[in-house]
Amino acid sequence: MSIEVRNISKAFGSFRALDNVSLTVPDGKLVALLGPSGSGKTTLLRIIAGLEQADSVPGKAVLFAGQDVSDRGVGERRVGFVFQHYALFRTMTVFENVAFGLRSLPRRARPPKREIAAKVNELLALVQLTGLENRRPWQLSGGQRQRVALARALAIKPSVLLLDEPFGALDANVRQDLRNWLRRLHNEIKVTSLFVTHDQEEALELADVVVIMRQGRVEQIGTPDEVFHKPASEFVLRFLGKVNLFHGRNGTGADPAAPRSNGLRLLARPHEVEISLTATAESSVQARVARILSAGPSVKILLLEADGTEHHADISHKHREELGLTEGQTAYVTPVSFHTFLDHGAAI
Amino acid sequence: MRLHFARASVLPGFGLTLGYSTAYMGLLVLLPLAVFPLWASRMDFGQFWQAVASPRVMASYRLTLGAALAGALANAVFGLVTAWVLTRYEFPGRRLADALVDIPFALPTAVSGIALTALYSKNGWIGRYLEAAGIQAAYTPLGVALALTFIGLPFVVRTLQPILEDLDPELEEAAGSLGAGKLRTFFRVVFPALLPALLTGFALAFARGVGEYGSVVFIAGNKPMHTEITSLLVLTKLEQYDYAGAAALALVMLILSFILLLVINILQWWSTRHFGEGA
Amino acid sequence: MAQGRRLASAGSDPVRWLLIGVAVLFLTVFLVLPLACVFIEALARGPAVYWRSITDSDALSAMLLTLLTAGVAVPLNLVFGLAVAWCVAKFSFSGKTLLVTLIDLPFSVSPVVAGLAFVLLFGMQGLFGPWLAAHDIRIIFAVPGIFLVTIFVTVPFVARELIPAMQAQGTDEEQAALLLGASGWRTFWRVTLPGVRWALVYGVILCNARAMGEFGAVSVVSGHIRGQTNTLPLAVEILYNEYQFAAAFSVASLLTLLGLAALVARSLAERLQRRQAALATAATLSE
Repeated sequence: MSIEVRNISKAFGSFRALDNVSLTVPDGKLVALLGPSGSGKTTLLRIIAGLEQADSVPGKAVLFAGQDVSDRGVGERRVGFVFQHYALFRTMTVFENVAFGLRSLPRRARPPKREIAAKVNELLALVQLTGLENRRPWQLSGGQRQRVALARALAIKPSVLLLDEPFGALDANVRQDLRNWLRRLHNEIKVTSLFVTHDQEEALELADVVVIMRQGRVEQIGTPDEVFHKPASEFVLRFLGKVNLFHGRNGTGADPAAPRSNGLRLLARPHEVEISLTATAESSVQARVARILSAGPSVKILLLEADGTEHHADISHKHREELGLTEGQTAYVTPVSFHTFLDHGAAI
Repeated sequence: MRLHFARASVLPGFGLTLGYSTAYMGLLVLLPLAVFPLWASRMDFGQFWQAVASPRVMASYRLTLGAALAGALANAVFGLVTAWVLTRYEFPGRRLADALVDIPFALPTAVSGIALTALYSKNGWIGRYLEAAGIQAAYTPLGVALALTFIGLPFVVRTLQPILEDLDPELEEAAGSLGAGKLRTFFRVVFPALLPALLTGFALAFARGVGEYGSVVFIAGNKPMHTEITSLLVLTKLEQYDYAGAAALALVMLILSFILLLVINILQWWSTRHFGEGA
Repeated sequence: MAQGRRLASAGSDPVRWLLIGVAVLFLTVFLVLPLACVFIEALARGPAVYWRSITDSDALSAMLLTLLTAGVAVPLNLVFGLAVAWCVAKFSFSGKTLLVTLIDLPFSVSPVVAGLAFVLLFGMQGLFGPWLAAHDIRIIFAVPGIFLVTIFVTVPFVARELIPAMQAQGTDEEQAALLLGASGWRTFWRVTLPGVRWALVYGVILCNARAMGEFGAVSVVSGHIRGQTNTLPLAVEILYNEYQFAAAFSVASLLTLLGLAALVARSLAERLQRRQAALATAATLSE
């Protein structure tokens, strides 16, 4: 079931959490809402769920499969919602947690006991928690709790699944496992899913579509490839990883021909720069090698210009050996491919 | 400022529960208390003054406030020691001692009253030794102060305990390792941290003492001008059908309660602001 | 764990034992002796007198009225406590601090003043006195007055325990329940209430102990009519003033047992809660 929001705004006092947001989540897709804290992503998720009301602006709407659900209460939207800290019912067992939604159905729609039990067991098998039915939430690990929350949300056959920072409260290694598992699960059940995250790696790895938010507005919507390779703004580029700025800063640039006067900024990611011992292009910048981190698949190099500007470069181990690079040495950084933005951050 | 009601929340029942609570409080608590100013307003100033400032009433104020102050002071000193011992030291019976602290809360005041009187009367367990030393406790202001010490005991201990538990022992150890002597450490490091809670507990015990009736009337002896507390005087006026006089005196006590409540709230606010939510 | 670490903290031996001695002496003189005194005085004239005192018809009728009073005041204040805790703990609104402060008001009002308030409202000379008399309704010097003042003095107990407990719960679980299609009532009964059950039990126990033990306020409105408007604490006073000390202490011992039961129940509830919390931490740590 697709999700569409139109003209959604939300202010808390004088703070504008959402500023006229519109977006569409296609049916069956796994979509990430990505942004720094305070960008309004959780508020948007809660408005879709019906947990918050959007400010009444003409034309505002939340639609599931083309149907306006704005007037439906939280219980009538059939939204599966996984809270950041799971919000498991502390006084209930795992089984009771998962069964809660089914047992809350009106009497005529409620399945008989045996069917509920079968359904719950099926879900627990799906989230790989068979055998833990009688545990209480506090007897589970973080990863297990998260899967209980997911099973509980799925029990009501939700039309859409909303997850608020689903991996936020987990350890790094559990996080990676659960991320892969969630992707496989989504391929299996194909329910339209929207999750909030502030971790760009998580969003890019997991989602079919990434929605990048900033200060209550949607900055860009696209596939992970699109947002990574064709960032719509300098903010998107910077949010998705380290960048090197080559023009537009104060002081003397390396290239007098650079169109600094019209406010152009040239940015390149660490893997998009080249390091050499001599200037290879007009745009080459002289810098001192401040730090070399070679414990990893590539060599990460931090370089400092005379005015303190930092540059980050990722090069292969082989290339580094060829250059014979050592800390303290002077080298040149040259952007090989780059993104250009006007001073106010828009792409050109 | 615009009055703002519940920030639109999905949880139901806000209007119902707030409406019910306010109506309940209004009818059962505020309306009855509002009757005092109403009654007092029917008197002229002379009558009012006579009711609240006659020599007998003044004597009752002196006794009530003085004994409450003495009780609260005793609790501040011994309550501090007790709270310290209960949180810092392990000794046989510590858990039991800790549980005992709540007894004055749990015991009906009439029961405390007769028990204390029996203890401190001339041939009581404690009274006979005091008598031998030439001290009369029951039916004197001292007895009133003793009863108010009993009734106020849990307040200081229970307000200090959480603060003492939260107080980082490293703070003391650090001060100790800097060469500060034990006493100096206590008065320079620990005591200032405890002060707001100590004052809060003191004020709570004092406020309770001022309004106390049941545990005091038995041990006080209730001699006018000598051992008659203000609460009892209110009751006496009522029994003499001096409704207006009783109302005027009750109004004075009520105003005092409000002032004390305000002071306690300010102290608590001060305490939590300085030492976090643990208070 | 944290407790153990602190207990080991410094304090040279003589000072330490001196302080322990002072504290123990203080608690013994002020708490243990009065408590022991109640029971010893009660049994001073033998178990037969004790039994006769507490099964005396006046004592039994006082007991009945006391139970009845608690039976009226506790449920009403329980419902109020639940309602006020729900709106205070789960919602934000202006005037909340004022409301919470007002809840405590009955604690800071002298019981005599509380009783007097109801006399001035409903007594013969009171505001509604003439009207009540015309309709032949008695409140003061009658059972309804006892109910009213008892409700007044016990208003804060349940609310004070429930508000922090419900605040600590947050609202995520309720939101989750509503999202799963549960009604407001079902959410309250199945999610909110089980989470605060210990606070609720404790609040009810305290409320009940005070409702049964209230003396000053009840004394003002009761009129001390034997067999009709006497509660147990009033019976204690009457017996004591009649120099029937053993009987007075016998009845007092019942009230004392009630108070002690409340303390024991509370420490049991606290221990259960702590054990659950400890298990929860242990489970989290063993991850």
